[in-house]
Amino acid sequence: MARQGRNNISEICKHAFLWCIYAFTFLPLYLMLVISLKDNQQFARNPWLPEAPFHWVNYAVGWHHIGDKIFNTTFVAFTTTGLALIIAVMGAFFFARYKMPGSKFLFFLFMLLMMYPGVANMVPSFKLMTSLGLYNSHWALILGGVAASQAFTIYVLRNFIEDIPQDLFDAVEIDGGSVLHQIWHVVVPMAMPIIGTLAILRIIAVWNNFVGPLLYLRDSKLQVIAVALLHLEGEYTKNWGELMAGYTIASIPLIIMFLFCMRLFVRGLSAGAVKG
Amino acid sequence: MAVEVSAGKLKYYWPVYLLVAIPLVMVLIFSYYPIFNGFIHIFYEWDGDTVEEYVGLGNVYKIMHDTDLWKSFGVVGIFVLANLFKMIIPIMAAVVLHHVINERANYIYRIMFVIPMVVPAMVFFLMWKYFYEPNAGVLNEILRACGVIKATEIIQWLSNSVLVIPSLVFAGFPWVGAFGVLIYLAGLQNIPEDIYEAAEIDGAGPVRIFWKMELPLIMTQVRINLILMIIGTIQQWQNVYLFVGESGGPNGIASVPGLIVFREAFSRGLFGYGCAVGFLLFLVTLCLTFINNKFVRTKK
Repeated sequence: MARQGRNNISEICKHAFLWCIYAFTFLPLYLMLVISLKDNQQFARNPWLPEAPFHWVNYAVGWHHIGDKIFNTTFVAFTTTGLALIIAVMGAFFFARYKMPGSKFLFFLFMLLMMYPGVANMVPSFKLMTSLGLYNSHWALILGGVAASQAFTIYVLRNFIEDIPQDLFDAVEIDGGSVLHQIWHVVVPMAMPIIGTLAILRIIAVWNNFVGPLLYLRDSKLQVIAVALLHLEGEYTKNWGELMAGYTIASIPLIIMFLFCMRLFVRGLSAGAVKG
Repeated sequence: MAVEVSAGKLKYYWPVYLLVAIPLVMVLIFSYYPIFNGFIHIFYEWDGDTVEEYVGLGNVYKIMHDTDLWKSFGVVGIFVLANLFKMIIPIMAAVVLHHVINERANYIYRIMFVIPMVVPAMVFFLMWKYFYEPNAGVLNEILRACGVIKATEIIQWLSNSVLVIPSLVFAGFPWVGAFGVLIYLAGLQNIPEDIYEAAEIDGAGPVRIFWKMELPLIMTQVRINLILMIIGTIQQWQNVYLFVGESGGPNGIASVPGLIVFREAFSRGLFGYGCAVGFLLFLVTLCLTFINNKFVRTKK
Protein backbone atom coordinates (compact mmCIF):
# COMPACT_ATOMS: atom_id res chain seq x y z
CA MET A 1 0.00 0.00 0.00
CA ALA A 2 1.35 3.36 -0.96
CA ARG A 3 -0.87 5.33 1.37
CA GLN A 4 0.73 5.57 4.75
CA GLY A 5 -0.78 6.76 7.96
CA ARG A 6 0.66 10.19 8.58
CA ASN A 7 1.33 9.40 12.18
CA ASN A 8 -0.03 7.50 15.11
CA ILE A 9 -2.41 10.25 16.24
CA SER A 10 -4.28 10.39 12.96
CA GLU A 11 -4.37 6.61 12.98
CA ILE A 12 -5.94 6.61 16.44
CA CYS A 13 -8.46 9.28 15.39
CA LYS A 14 -9.66 7.14 12.51
CA HIS A 15 -10.26 4.13 14.71
CA ALA A 16 -11.88 6.26 17.41
CA PHE A 17 -14.27 7.80 14.89
CA LEU A 18 -15.36 4.39 13.62
CA TRP A 19 -15.79 3.02 17.12
CA CYS A 20 -18.00 5.97 18.02
CA ILE A 21 -20.27 5.07 15.10
CA TYR A 22 -20.29 1.41 16.08
CA ALA A 23 -21.20 2.34 19.64
CA PHE A 24 -24.42 3.83 18.33
CA THR A 25 -25.20 1.29 15.62
CA PHE A 26 -24.73 -1.61 18.00
CA LEU A 27 -26.70 -0.01 20.83
CA PRO A 28 -30.14 -1.29 19.74
CA LEU A 29 -28.75 -4.80 19.29
CA TYR A 30 -27.04 -4.66 22.68
CA LEU A 31 -30.04 -3.30 24.57
CA MET A 32 -32.35 -5.79 22.89
CA LEU A 33 -30.22 -8.69 24.13
CA VAL A 34 -29.65 -7.29 27.62
CA ILE A 35 -33.23 -6.32 28.33
CA SER A 36 -34.57 -9.59 26.91
CA LEU A 37 -33.27 -11.34 30.05
CA LYS A 38 -34.71 -8.93 32.61
CA ASP A 39 -38.03 -8.75 34.38
CA ASN A 40 -39.76 -5.41 34.80
CA GLN A 41 -38.22 -4.62 38.19
CA GLN A 42 -34.69 -5.25 36.97
CA PHE A 43 -35.49 -3.21 33.91
CA ALA A 44 -36.71 -0.27 35.96
CA ARG A 45 -33.68 -0.40 38.22
CA ASN A 46 -31.02 -0.80 35.59
CA PRO A 47 -31.83 -1.22 31.89
CA TRP A 48 -28.21 -0.87 30.76
CA LEU A 49 -26.21 -3.80 32.10
CA PRO A 50 -26.85 -7.53 32.24
CA GLU A 51 -27.75 -8.65 35.71
CA ALA A 52 -28.46 -12.00 37.37
CA PRO A 53 -30.90 -13.69 37.73
CA PHE A 54 -31.51 -14.10 34.03
CA HIS A 55 -35.12 -14.60 33.08
CA TRP A 56 -34.92 -17.14 30.28
CA VAL A 57 -38.64 -17.61 30.59
CA ASN A 58 -39.05 -14.37 28.62
CA TYR A 59 -37.94 -16.31 25.58
CA ALA A 60 -40.59 -18.95 26.13
CA VAL A 61 -43.25 -16.22 26.21
CA GLY A 62 -41.74 -14.48 23.18
CA TRP A 63 -41.70 -17.77 21.29
CA HIS A 64 -45.32 -18.35 22.17
CA HIS A 65 -46.24 -15.06 20.49
CA ILE A 66 -44.18 -15.20 17.32
CA GLY A 67 -42.71 -18.70 17.00
CA ASP A 68 -45.20 -19.97 14.44
CA LYS A 69 -44.93 -16.71 12.47
CA ILE A 70 -41.30 -17.43 11.68
CA PHE A 71 -42.23 -20.22 9.30
CA ASN A 72 -44.72 -17.99 7.46
CA THR A 73 -42.23 -15.16 7.11
CA THR A 74 -39.45 -17.46 5.97
CA PHE A 75 -41.70 -19.06 3.37
CA VAL A 76 -42.83 -15.71 1.95
CA ALA A 77 -39.34 -14.17 2.04
CA PHE A 78 -37.52 -17.05 0.35
CA THR A 79 -40.19 -17.80 -2.25
CA THR A 80 -40.46 -14.14 -3.22
CA THR A 81 -36.70 -13.73 -3.45
CA GLY A 82 -36.12 -16.96 -5.38
CA LEU A 83 -38.79 -16.30 -7.98
CA ALA A 84 -37.90 -12.61 -8.28
CA LEU A 85 -34.23 -13.32 -8.97
CA ILE A 86 -34.80 -16.19 -11.40
CA ILE A 87 -37.01 -14.13 -13.67
CA ALA A 88 -35.00 -10.92 -13.18
CA VAL A 89 -31.76 -12.63 -14.27
CA MET A 90 -33.44 -13.64 -17.51
CA GLY A 91 -34.91 -10.18 -17.98
CA ALA A 92 -31.60 -8.48 -17.24
CA PHE A 93 -29.83 -10.86 -19.64
CA PHE A 94 -32.25 -9.82 -22.35
CA PHE A 95 -31.55 -6.12 -21.82
CA ALA A 96 -27.80 -6.54 -21.40
CA ARG A 97 -27.12 -8.83 -24.34
CA TYR A 98 -29.66 -7.96 -27.02
CA LYS A 99 -30.73 -4.80 -28.72
CA MET A 100 -34.08 -5.89 -30.07
CA PRO A 101 -36.71 -3.66 -31.63
CA GLY A 102 -38.62 -2.30 -28.63
CA SER A 103 -35.86 -3.04 -26.10
CA LYS A 104 -35.58 0.59 -25.08
CA PHE A 105 -39.29 0.98 -24.60
CA LEU A 106 -39.52 -2.18 -22.52
CA PHE A 107 -36.62 -1.05 -20.35
CA PHE A 108 -38.32 2.31 -19.85
CA LEU A 109 -41.46 0.45 -18.74
CA PHE A 110 -39.46 -1.20 -15.98
CA MET A 111 -37.57 1.91 -14.94
CA LEU A 112 -40.72 3.99 -14.65
CA LEU A 113 -41.89 1.63 -11.94
CA MET A 114 -38.97 2.67 -9.72
CA MET A 115 -40.57 6.11 -9.55
CA TYR A 116 -44.03 4.84 -8.72
CA PRO A 117 -44.86 5.08 -5.02
CA GLY A 118 -45.95 1.76 -3.59
CA VAL A 119 -48.48 3.53 -1.43
CA ALA A 120 -50.25 4.93 -4.49
CA ASN A 121 -50.69 1.42 -5.77
CA MET A 122 -51.87 -0.08 -2.52
CA VAL A 123 -55.58 0.42 -3.08
CA PRO A 124 -55.86 -0.90 -6.65
CA SER A 125 -53.45 -3.75 -5.82
CA PHE A 126 -55.63 -4.72 -2.92
CA LYS A 127 -58.65 -4.74 -5.23
CA LEU A 128 -56.76 -6.82 -7.80
CA MET A 129 -55.61 -9.40 -5.28
CA THR A 130 -59.12 -9.73 -3.88
CA SER A 131 -60.62 -10.26 -7.31
CA LEU A 132 -57.94 -12.87 -8.08
CA GLY A 133 -59.06 -14.69 -4.95
CA LEU A 134 -55.69 -14.15 -3.28
CA TYR A 135 -56.99 -12.30 -0.24
CA ASN A 136 -55.80 -14.00 2.92
CA SER A 137 -53.16 -15.94 1.00
CA HIS A 138 -49.38 -15.76 1.10
CA TRP A 139 -49.39 -15.71 -2.68
CA ALA A 140 -50.76 -12.18 -2.73
CA LEU A 141 -47.58 -11.09 -0.93
CA ILE A 142 -45.31 -13.28 -3.04
CA LEU A 143 -46.63 -12.33 -6.48
CA GLY A 144 -46.89 -8.66 -5.57
CA GLY A 145 -43.41 -8.72 -4.10
CA VAL A 146 -41.92 -10.41 -7.16
CA ALA A 147 -43.44 -7.82 -9.48
CA ALA A 148 -42.45 -4.89 -7.28
CA SER A 149 -38.82 -5.99 -7.12
CA GLN A 150 -38.27 -6.39 -10.86
CA ALA A 151 -37.37 -2.79 -11.70
CA PHE A 152 -34.49 -2.36 -9.25
CA THR A 153 -33.20 -5.91 -9.63
CA ILE A 154 -33.16 -5.80 -13.42
CA TYR A 155 -31.51 -2.37 -13.36
CA VAL A 156 -28.64 -3.54 -11.16
CA LEU A 157 -28.17 -6.92 -12.85
CA ARG A 158 -28.20 -5.42 -16.32
CA ASN A 159 -25.24 -3.17 -15.48
CA PHE A 160 -23.40 -6.16 -14.16
CA ILE A 161 -24.11 -8.54 -17.03
CA GLU A 162 -23.05 -5.90 -19.57
CA ASP A 163 -19.55 -5.98 -18.07
CA ILE A 164 -19.08 -9.73 -18.47
CA PRO A 165 -16.49 -10.30 -21.24
CA GLN A 166 -17.89 -11.36 -24.61
CA ASP A 167 -15.41 -14.27 -24.90
CA LEU A 168 -17.16 -16.20 -22.18
CA PHE A 169 -20.47 -16.08 -24.01
CA ASP A 170 -18.76 -16.97 -27.32
CA ALA A 171 -17.19 -20.02 -25.72
CA VAL A 172 -20.55 -21.35 -24.65
CA GLU A 173 -22.07 -20.55 -28.01
CA ILE A 174 -19.32 -22.42 -29.92
CA ASP A 175 -20.01 -25.44 -27.77
CA GLY A 176 -23.57 -25.22 -29.03
CA GLY A 177 -24.99 -23.94 -25.77
CA SER A 178 -28.36 -22.27 -25.80
CA VAL A 179 -29.22 -18.95 -24.21
CA LEU A 180 -30.21 -20.73 -21.01
CA HIS A 181 -26.79 -22.41 -20.98
CA GLN A 182 -25.17 -19.00 -21.25
CA ILE A 183 -27.18 -17.77 -18.31
CA TRP A 184 -26.51 -20.83 -16.19
CA HIS A 185 -22.81 -21.33 -16.99
CA VAL A 186 -21.65 -17.74 -17.46
CA VAL A 187 -24.00 -15.18 -15.94
CA VAL A 188 -24.85 -17.00 -12.73
CA PRO A 189 -21.25 -17.84 -11.70
CA MET A 190 -19.87 -14.45 -12.77
CA ALA A 191 -22.62 -12.45 -11.12
CA MET A 192 -22.91 -14.56 -7.99
CA PRO A 193 -21.78 -11.86 -5.51
CA ILE A 194 -24.27 -9.38 -6.88
CA ILE A 195 -27.06 -11.94 -7.11
CA GLY A 196 -26.36 -12.87 -3.50
CA THR A 197 -26.38 -9.22 -2.45
CA LEU A 198 -29.66 -8.56 -4.22
CA ALA A 199 -31.11 -11.69 -2.64
CA ILE A 200 -30.16 -10.54 0.84
CA LEU A 201 -31.55 -7.06 0.26
CA ARG A 202 -34.78 -8.58 -1.03
CA ILE A 203 -35.13 -11.01 1.87
CA ILE A 204 -34.62 -8.17 4.33
CA ALA A 205 -37.15 -6.03 2.49
CA VAL A 206 -39.76 -8.80 2.67
CA TRP A 207 -38.86 -9.46 6.29
CA ASN A 208 -39.48 -5.81 7.13
CA ASN A 209 -42.67 -5.35 5.14
CA PHE A 210 -45.60 -4.98 7.46
CA VAL A 211 -48.05 -3.07 5.30
CA GLY A 212 -48.69 -5.84 2.78
CA PRO A 213 -49.32 -8.54 5.40
CA LEU A 214 -51.48 -6.12 7.39
CA LEU A 215 -53.70 -5.59 4.36
CA TYR A 216 -53.75 -9.02 2.76
CA LEU A 217 -53.69 -11.49 5.63
CA ARG A 218 -56.69 -11.90 7.88
CA ASP A 219 -56.00 -15.17 9.72
CA SER A 220 -53.52 -14.77 12.52
CA LYS A 221 -52.32 -18.28 11.68
CA LEU A 222 -50.96 -16.95 8.37
CA GLN A 223 -49.55 -13.74 9.78
CA VAL A 224 -45.87 -12.78 9.51
CA ILE A 225 -43.36 -11.64 12.11
CA ALA A 226 -43.45 -7.92 11.41
CA VAL A 227 -47.19 -7.68 12.05
CA ALA A 228 -46.98 -9.98 15.05
CA LEU A 229 -44.34 -7.70 16.58
CA LEU A 230 -46.51 -4.69 15.90
CA HIS A 231 -49.45 -6.30 17.72
CA LEU A 232 -47.16 -7.44 20.51
CA GLU A 233 -45.92 -3.89 21.01
CA GLY A 234 -49.41 -2.44 20.80
CA GLU A 235 -51.52 -4.56 23.08
CA TYR A 236 -49.05 -5.23 25.84
CA THR A 237 -49.20 -4.02 29.37
CA LYS A 238 -45.54 -3.51 28.77
CA ASN A 239 -43.40 -6.36 29.94
CA TRP A 240 -40.18 -5.13 28.40
CA GLY A 241 -38.22 -8.32 28.85
CA GLU A 242 -40.75 -10.46 27.02
CA LEU A 243 -41.07 -7.84 24.30
CA MET A 244 -37.31 -7.75 23.71
CA ALA A 245 -37.11 -11.53 23.80
CA GLY A 246 -39.72 -11.55 21.05
CA TYR A 247 -37.64 -9.07 19.05
CA THR A 248 -34.57 -11.23 19.49
CA ILE A 249 -36.36 -14.35 18.30
CA ALA A 250 -37.56 -12.40 15.28
CA SER A 251 -33.94 -11.57 14.44
CA ILE A 252 -32.63 -15.13 14.63
CA PRO A 253 -33.39 -16.22 11.05
CA LEU A 254 -31.68 -13.10 9.72
CA ILE A 255 -28.70 -13.77 11.99
CA ILE A 256 -28.40 -17.29 10.60
CA MET A 257 -28.66 -16.01 7.05
CA PHE A 258 -25.97 -13.42 7.64
CA LEU A 259 -23.64 -15.96 9.19
CA PHE A 260 -23.63 -17.80 5.87
CA CYS A 261 -23.84 -14.89 3.47
CA MET A 262 -21.83 -12.14 5.15
CA ARG A 263 -18.77 -12.56 2.92
CA LEU A 264 -20.87 -12.70 -0.23
CA PHE A 265 -22.73 -9.58 0.81
CA VAL A 266 -19.65 -7.54 1.66
CA ARG A 267 -17.95 -8.70 -1.55
CA GLY A 268 -21.03 -7.93 -3.67
CA LEU A 269 -21.49 -4.40 -2.39
CA SER A 270 -17.76 -3.70 -2.34
CA ALA A 271 -17.45 -4.82 -5.94
CA GLY A 272 -19.63 -1.92 -6.96
CA ALA A 273 -23.06 -3.48 -6.84
CA VAL A 274 -24.69 -0.28 -7.91
CA LYS A 275 -23.13 1.72 -10.69
CA GLY A 276 -23.96 5.02 -12.31
CA MET B 1 -21.28 -6.08 -26.64
CA ALA B 2 -24.92 -6.54 -27.11
CA VAL B 3 -26.24 -8.39 -30.13
CA GLU B 4 -27.98 -5.94 -32.42
CA VAL B 5 -31.10 -7.37 -33.97
CA SER B 6 -32.83 -5.45 -36.71
CA ALA B 7 -36.51 -5.86 -37.50
CA GLY B 8 -35.63 -8.03 -40.52
CA LYS B 9 -33.86 -10.64 -38.42
CA LEU B 10 -36.75 -10.99 -36.01
CA LYS B 11 -37.84 -14.15 -37.80
CA TYR B 12 -34.89 -15.96 -36.22
CA TYR B 13 -34.50 -13.97 -33.07
CA TRP B 14 -38.06 -13.65 -31.78
CA PRO B 15 -37.65 -16.35 -29.10
CA VAL B 16 -35.25 -13.99 -27.33
CA TYR B 17 -38.29 -11.99 -26.26
CA LEU B 18 -39.36 -14.96 -24.18
CA LEU B 19 -36.54 -14.10 -21.75
CA VAL B 20 -38.19 -10.86 -20.79
CA ALA B 21 -41.72 -12.18 -21.13
CA ILE B 22 -42.19 -13.45 -17.58
CA PRO B 23 -40.96 -10.32 -15.77
CA LEU B 24 -42.93 -8.23 -18.23
CA VAL B 25 -46.16 -10.15 -17.69
CA MET B 26 -45.61 -9.96 -13.94
CA VAL B 27 -45.25 -6.17 -13.90
CA LEU B 28 -48.08 -5.69 -16.40
CA ILE B 29 -50.48 -7.63 -14.20
CA PHE B 30 -49.32 -6.68 -10.72
CA SER B 31 -47.96 -3.17 -11.28
CA TYR B 32 -49.32 -1.60 -14.45
CA TYR B 33 -52.86 -2.90 -14.22
CA PRO B 34 -53.30 -1.46 -10.70
CA ILE B 35 -51.62 1.78 -11.76
CA PHE B 36 -54.01 2.07 -14.68
CA ASN B 37 -56.96 1.16 -12.50
CA GLY B 38 -55.87 3.71 -9.89
CA PHE B 39 -55.50 6.41 -12.52
CA ILE B 40 -59.06 5.82 -13.75
CA HIS B 41 -60.35 6.06 -10.20
CA ILE B 42 -58.89 9.53 -9.73
CA PHE B 43 -62.11 10.65 -11.38
CA TYR B 44 -64.37 8.61 -9.14
CA GLU B 45 -65.56 8.46 -5.63
CA TRP B 46 -64.78 4.86 -4.83
CA ASP B 47 -65.23 2.69 -1.76
CA GLY B 48 -62.44 0.35 -2.86
CA ASP B 49 -64.95 -2.22 -3.97
CA THR B 50 -68.00 -1.98 -6.19
CA VAL B 51 -69.55 1.37 -5.31
CA GLU B 52 -68.18 4.08 -7.54
CA GLU B 53 -69.49 7.39 -8.69
CA TYR B 54 -68.02 9.57 -11.43
CA VAL B 55 -67.02 12.93 -9.97
CA GLY B 56 -64.93 14.33 -12.82
CA LEU B 57 -62.18 16.54 -11.49
CA GLY B 58 -63.74 16.59 -8.02
CA ASN B 59 -60.77 14.86 -6.40
CA VAL B 60 -58.36 17.25 -8.10
CA TYR B 61 -60.25 20.25 -6.71
CA LYS B 62 -60.21 18.57 -3.36
CA ILE B 63 -56.43 18.16 -3.54
CA MET B 64 -56.02 21.85 -4.37
CA HIS B 65 -58.03 22.85 -1.31
CA ASP B 66 -56.65 20.26 1.09
CA THR B 67 -54.38 22.32 3.33
CA ASP B 68 -53.41 19.25 5.35
CA LEU B 69 -52.07 17.66 2.19
CA TRP B 70 -49.96 20.69 1.26
CA LYS B 71 -48.63 20.84 4.81
CA SER B 72 -47.69 17.19 4.48
CA PHE B 73 -45.58 18.01 1.44
CA GLY B 74 -43.85 20.59 3.62
CA VAL B 75 -43.17 17.89 6.20
CA VAL B 76 -41.74 15.55 3.60
CA GLY B 77 -39.63 18.46 2.36
CA ILE B 78 -38.16 18.77 5.85
CA PHE B 79 -37.42 15.04 5.86
CA VAL B 80 -35.68 15.20 2.48
CA LEU B 81 -33.53 18.13 3.62
CA ALA B 82 -32.72 16.36 6.86
CA ASN B 83 -31.82 13.18 5.01
CA LEU B 84 -29.50 15.20 2.80
CA PHE B 85 -27.51 16.16 5.89
CA LYS B 86 -27.75 12.63 7.17
CA MET B 87 -25.72 11.51 4.15
CA ILE B 88 -22.65 13.26 5.57
CA ILE B 89 -21.86 10.77 8.34
CA PRO B 90 -22.01 7.68 6.09
CA ILE B 91 -19.73 9.39 3.55
CA MET B 92 -17.31 10.33 6.30
CA ALA B 93 -17.45 6.80 7.69
CA ALA B 94 -16.66 5.35 4.27
CA VAL B 95 -13.73 7.73 3.73
CA VAL B 96 -12.27 7.01 7.15
CA LEU B 97 -12.76 3.28 6.65
CA HIS B 98 -11.01 3.57 3.30
CA HIS B 99 -8.00 5.07 5.04
CA VAL B 100 -7.73 2.24 7.54
CA ILE B 101 -4.73 0.59 5.97
CA ASN B 102 -4.46 -2.61 7.93
CA GLU B 103 -6.35 -5.01 5.68
CA ARG B 104 -7.55 -7.24 8.46
CA ALA B 105 -8.90 -4.34 10.47
CA ASN B 106 -10.48 -2.94 7.34
CA TYR B 107 -12.32 -6.19 6.65
CA ILE B 108 -13.53 -6.54 10.23
CA TYR B 109 -14.77 -2.94 10.22
CA ARG B 110 -16.71 -3.58 7.03
CA ILE B 111 -18.33 -6.64 8.58
CA MET B 112 -19.21 -4.57 11.62
CA PHE B 113 -21.21 -2.21 9.48
CA VAL B 114 -23.22 -5.15 8.22
CA ILE B 115 -23.95 -6.88 11.53
CA PRO B 116 -26.59 -4.41 12.82
CA MET B 117 -28.59 -5.21 9.67
CA VAL B 118 -29.63 -8.49 11.31
CA VAL B 119 -31.97 -6.49 13.50
CA PRO B 120 -35.25 -6.46 11.58
CA ALA B 121 -36.41 -2.95 10.71
CA MET B 122 -39.54 -3.45 12.79
CA VAL B 123 -37.36 -4.15 15.82
CA PHE B 124 -35.18 -1.17 14.96
CA PHE B 125 -38.22 1.14 14.85
CA LEU B 126 -39.71 -0.27 18.01
CA MET B 127 -36.35 0.11 19.78
CA TRP B 128 -36.32 3.76 18.81
CA LYS B 129 -39.88 4.11 19.95
CA TYR B 130 -38.79 2.72 23.28
CA PHE B 131 -35.88 5.18 23.20
CA TYR B 132 -38.43 8.02 23.10
CA GLU B 133 -40.87 6.41 25.52
CA PRO B 134 -41.81 9.13 28.06
CA ASN B 135 -41.72 7.13 31.31
CA ALA B 136 -39.12 4.40 31.08
CA GLY B 137 -37.55 5.38 27.73
CA VAL B 138 -33.81 5.64 27.26
CA LEU B 139 -33.68 9.29 26.27
CA ASN B 140 -35.56 10.63 29.29
CA GLU B 141 -33.54 8.31 31.54
CA ILE B 142 -30.31 9.74 30.16
CA LEU B 143 -31.55 13.31 30.59
CA ARG B 144 -32.59 12.54 34.16
CA ALA B 145 -29.26 10.89 34.94
CA CYS B 146 -27.40 13.91 33.59
CA GLY B 147 -29.59 16.27 35.56
CA VAL B 148 -30.88 18.06 32.46
CA ILE B 149 -34.45 17.42 33.51
CA LYS B 150 -35.86 16.77 36.97
CA ALA B 151 -36.37 13.20 38.14
CA THR B 152 -40.12 13.58 37.97
CA GLU B 153 -40.20 15.45 34.70
CA ILE B 154 -41.52 13.69 31.62
CA ILE B 155 -40.86 14.84 28.09
CA GLN B 156 -43.36 13.57 25.54
CA TRP B 157 -41.00 13.29 22.59
CA LEU B 158 -43.55 11.86 20.20
CA SER B 159 -46.74 13.56 21.36
CA ASN B 160 -45.51 17.12 21.65
CA SER B 161 -46.29 19.08 18.50
CA VAL B 162 -42.97 20.94 18.59
CA LEU B 163 -40.80 17.92 19.31
CA VAL B 164 -42.36 15.24 17.17
CA ILE B 165 -40.76 16.14 13.82
CA PRO B 166 -37.25 16.68 15.27
CA SER B 167 -37.64 13.37 17.11
CA LEU B 168 -38.57 11.59 13.89
CA VAL B 169 -35.60 13.19 12.13
CA PHE B 170 -33.17 12.22 14.85
CA ALA B 171 -34.37 8.61 15.04
CA GLY B 172 -31.84 6.19 13.66
CA PHE B 173 -28.79 8.25 14.62
CA PRO B 174 -26.03 8.04 13.31
CA TRP B 175 -27.97 7.04 10.19
CA VAL B 176 -25.22 4.81 8.92
CA GLY B 177 -26.30 1.78 6.95
CA ALA B 178 -24.15 -0.95 5.47
CA PHE B 179 -25.68 -0.41 2.04
CA GLY B 180 -24.65 3.24 1.75
CA VAL B 181 -21.23 2.88 3.34
CA LEU B 182 -20.18 -0.12 1.26
CA ILE B 183 -21.31 1.56 -1.94
CA TYR B 184 -19.28 4.68 -1.19
CA LEU B 185 -16.39 2.43 -0.25
CA ALA B 186 -16.62 0.67 -3.62
CA GLY B 187 -16.28 4.06 -5.28
CA LEU B 188 -13.31 5.00 -3.14
CA GLN B 189 -11.57 1.73 -3.89
CA ASN B 190 -11.74 2.50 -7.60
CA ILE B 191 -9.55 5.57 -7.15
CA PRO B 192 -6.13 4.65 -8.54
CA GLU B 193 -3.16 4.67 -6.14
CA ASP B 194 -1.09 7.05 -8.28
CA ILE B 195 -3.62 9.85 -7.82
CA TYR B 196 -3.07 9.56 -4.09
CA GLU B 197 0.68 9.57 -4.64
CA ALA B 198 0.43 12.71 -6.77
CA ALA B 199 -1.65 14.38 -4.06
CA GLU B 200 0.90 13.41 -1.40
CA ILE B 201 3.73 14.86 -3.46
CA ASP B 202 1.75 18.09 -3.82
CA GLY B 203 1.57 18.13 -0.06
CA ALA B 204 -2.24 18.03 0.07
CA GLY B 205 -3.65 17.35 3.52
CA PRO B 206 -6.47 14.91 4.23
CA VAL B 207 -9.15 17.61 4.14
CA ARG B 208 -7.97 18.93 0.80
CA ILE B 209 -7.69 15.41 -0.59
CA PHE B 210 -11.27 14.75 0.46
CA TRP B 211 -12.79 17.88 -1.09
CA LYS B 212 -10.69 18.10 -4.24
CA MET B 213 -10.24 14.45 -5.04
CA GLU B 214 -12.20 11.83 -3.16
CA LEU B 215 -15.60 13.53 -3.12
CA PRO B 216 -15.59 14.40 -6.85
CA LEU B 217 -14.46 10.86 -7.67
CA ILE B 218 -17.26 9.20 -5.73
CA MET B 219 -19.96 11.53 -7.04
CA THR B 220 -21.39 8.60 -9.06
CA GLN B 221 -22.09 6.72 -5.85
CA VAL B 222 -23.26 9.82 -4.04
CA ARG B 223 -25.71 10.49 -6.82
CA ILE B 224 -27.08 6.96 -6.76
CA ASN B 225 -27.62 7.14 -3.04
CA LEU B 226 -29.10 10.61 -3.41
CA ILE B 227 -31.67 9.44 -5.96
CA LEU B 228 -32.55 6.38 -3.91
CA MET B 229 -32.80 8.56 -0.81
CA ILE B 230 -35.08 11.13 -2.44
CA ILE B 231 -37.41 8.54 -3.96
CA GLY B 232 -37.42 6.60 -0.72
CA THR B 233 -38.07 9.60 1.52
CA ILE B 234 -40.90 11.04 -0.56
CA GLN B 235 -42.66 7.70 -0.61
CA GLN B 236 -41.94 6.73 2.95
CA TRP B 237 -44.69 6.86 5.52
CA GLN B 238 -44.20 3.60 7.41
CA ASN B 239 -41.79 5.19 9.88
CA VAL B 240 -44.27 7.91 10.77
CA TYR B 241 -47.00 5.29 11.05
CA LEU B 242 -44.90 3.18 13.40
CA PHE B 243 -43.81 6.07 15.59
CA VAL B 244 -46.97 8.11 15.97
CA GLY B 245 -49.66 5.96 14.40
CA GLU B 246 -52.15 6.58 11.65
CA SER B 247 -53.13 10.04 12.92
CA GLY B 248 -49.67 11.44 12.19
CA GLY B 249 -48.94 12.71 15.68
CA PRO B 250 -50.54 15.59 17.60
CA ASN B 251 -53.00 17.32 15.26
CA GLY B 252 -51.53 15.22 12.44
CA ILE B 253 -48.55 17.55 12.37
CA ALA B 254 -46.12 14.86 11.20
CA SER B 255 -48.38 13.49 8.46
CA VAL B 256 -46.56 12.79 5.22
CA PRO B 257 -48.36 12.38 1.87
CA GLY B 258 -48.01 8.59 1.91
CA LEU B 259 -49.66 8.44 5.31
CA ILE B 260 -52.51 10.60 4.00
CA VAL B 261 -53.05 8.17 1.10
CA PHE B 262 -53.20 5.31 3.57
CA ARG B 263 -55.49 7.15 5.95
CA GLU B 264 -57.91 8.50 3.35
CA ALA B 265 -58.20 5.15 1.60
CA PHE B 266 -58.14 2.53 4.29
CA SER B 267 -59.60 4.38 7.29
CA ARG B 268 -62.00 6.82 5.72
CA GLY B 269 -62.86 4.71 2.68
CA LEU B 270 -62.09 7.50 0.20
CA PHE B 271 -60.23 5.27 -2.23
CA GLY B 272 -60.68 7.59 -5.21
CA TYR B 273 -59.11 10.46 -3.32
CA GLY B 274 -56.32 8.14 -2.13
CA CYS B 275 -55.57 7.24 -5.75
CA ALA B 276 -55.48 10.92 -6.72
CA VAL B 277 -53.03 11.84 -3.96
CA GLY B 278 -50.93 8.79 -4.83
CA PHE B 279 -50.72 9.89 -8.44
CA LEU B 280 -49.68 13.37 -7.36
CA LEU B 281 -46.94 11.76 -5.31
CA PHE B 282 -45.78 9.89 -8.40
CA LEU B 283 -45.59 13.12 -10.41
CA VAL B 284 -43.57 14.81 -7.66
CA THR B 285 -41.15 11.87 -7.52
CA LEU B 286 -40.77 11.95 -11.28
CA CYS B 287 -40.01 15.70 -11.28
CA LEU B 288 -37.45 15.46 -8.49
CA THR B 289 -35.67 12.52 -10.10
CA PHE B 290 -35.57 14.46 -13.34
CA ILE B 291 -34.15 17.56 -11.62
CA ASN B 292 -31.64 15.40 -9.81
CA ASN B 293 -30.50 13.78 -13.05
CA LYS B 294 -30.16 17.13 -14.71
CA PHE B 295 -28.32 19.10 -12.05
CA VAL B 296 -26.28 16.62 -10.06
CA ARG B 297 -23.76 15.75 -12.74
CA THR B 298 -21.00 13.24 -12.37
CA LYS B 299 -17.52 13.82 -13.65
CA LYS B 300 -16.36 10.91 -15.73
